[in-house]
Amino acid sequence: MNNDFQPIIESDAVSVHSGFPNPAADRKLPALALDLNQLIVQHPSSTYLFRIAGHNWSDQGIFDGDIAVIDRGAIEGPNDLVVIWQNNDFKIARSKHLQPEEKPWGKVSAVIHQF
Amino acid sequence: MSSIFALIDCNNFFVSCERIFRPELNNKPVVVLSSNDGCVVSRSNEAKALGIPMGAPAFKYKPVFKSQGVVQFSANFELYGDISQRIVKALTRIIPKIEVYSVDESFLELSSLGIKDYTVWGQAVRYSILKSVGVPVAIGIAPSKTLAKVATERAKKNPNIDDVLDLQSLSPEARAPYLLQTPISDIWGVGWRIAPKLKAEGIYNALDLSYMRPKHAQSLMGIHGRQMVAELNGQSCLPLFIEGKQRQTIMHGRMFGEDTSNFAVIEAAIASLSARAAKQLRVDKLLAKRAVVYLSTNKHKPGYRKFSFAVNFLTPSNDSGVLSKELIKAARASFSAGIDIHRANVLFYDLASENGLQIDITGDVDLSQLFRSKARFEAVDSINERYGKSTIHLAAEDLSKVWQPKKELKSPSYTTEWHELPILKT
Repeated sequence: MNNDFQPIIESDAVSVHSGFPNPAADRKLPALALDLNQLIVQHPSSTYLFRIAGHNWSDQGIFDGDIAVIDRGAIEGPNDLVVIWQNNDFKIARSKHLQPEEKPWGKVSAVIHQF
Repeated sequence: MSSIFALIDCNNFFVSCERIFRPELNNKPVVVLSSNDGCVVSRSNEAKALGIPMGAPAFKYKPVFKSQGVVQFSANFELYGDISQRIVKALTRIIPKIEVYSVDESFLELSSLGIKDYTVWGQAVRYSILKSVGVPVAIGIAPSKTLAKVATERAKKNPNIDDVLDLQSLSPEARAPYLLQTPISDIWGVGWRIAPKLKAEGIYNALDLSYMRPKHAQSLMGIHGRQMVAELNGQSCLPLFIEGKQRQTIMHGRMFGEDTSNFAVIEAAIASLSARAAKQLRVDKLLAKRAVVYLSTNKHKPGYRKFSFAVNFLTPSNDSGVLSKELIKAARASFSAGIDIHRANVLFYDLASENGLQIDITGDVDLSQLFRSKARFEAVDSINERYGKSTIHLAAEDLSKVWQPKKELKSPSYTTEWHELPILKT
């Protein structure tokens, strides 16, 4: 990489360079801004999004129309929320309340509520 | 250090993708039909056990589907593409350099990983993909890609093998039974053209082929045959192909919702297929020099006929307008009226890289026209990307009912459309 010789005039448009070079202009640097994916999606290949339907978990802060972020790869603890397949529907449940034969489909890693 | 290859091959891939969001269909017969419900393109093991062959025409098997309770889906390529990318992403976390061979197969080269027990490793990878992505895979491990493919086939077909077969750790003698079980038509690189030739020589399976004298293999099948014999004997000739290989052809085809002899409908189909192929050319930064249009009547009705019209483009192009105009012109010139057309295909071949064009040109190429249309179509593609596939299309691209693929049985685009996410009930 050679930033010592910056062009004063480019061929197709006049562009005068001076002062401190903008580090963000160099595409090789990683993006500087925070990325919500980094916060919410730990494992992109095993993360699936679901739409919440129903009001039964409103007291837990999970509302109708919210988007649930489900990680199939994560290992769930007893207090974690999980997705189970029951009577031909995906349902939300607390891991410790599952019957031994009920295998969770994935773990709820976040719920996104948009206003 | 000699190479060690693993082939990760998804089982009944399209069906497995559908089952991720329909767990009640595990252990039930399921088929996926081609995008306009013409024929079977993926079958669950239960559907295979019912004797439904690959490529089976759906209308012929409707009674079987009904009586046996076979669940049918129209192909949902957005979903399959996304699941495929997830698997690739998961595999690149094991080792960054992988060869994505097809939508449901990837080769890995393992020699740098220092694995002690390949079966244990394979089982761990299999479990991880099944748990995290939700799709079952079979894994074959061997010193060559051709043998890895044999191993994967055996792992899938032999009920005593638990979806992972390590031929790497076996001596040639111990590998022999697996080669013996592999018919030549199942060997990677043996096409329908070569298979009868080999049978005529008394070669019926991979073991027979591995015993063939290399010189004889070469005289029969060219250098490719010699490599195949070496690969079956554990000598790797085909390295991992990491770089994106330039495509040689682009083919798009569709069946008509109803057979038609109306040239306006056929013309619209050719335009629409050309537009899709042209989009693909632009994405891959390629230009087509030649093309063929194929039209055919219904194979399953008496009097089956096929027509083809070839076109050479004076200026290699990826401009939907130029491509479809030439193809329609050629089809119109030779199409005879009164024939009910069932299917249209367009094939573009003799493809050149956009960047390589300067070297290829012979003087009759109009570069200014080329760059004008390039700029125009980049704009069209970006608008269509943002607002949906056919926001801007050529006037001849018809969007009438006859032409639209039947998508009655398509599952939601669970992972690629915000308004089609799977529902989680509280």
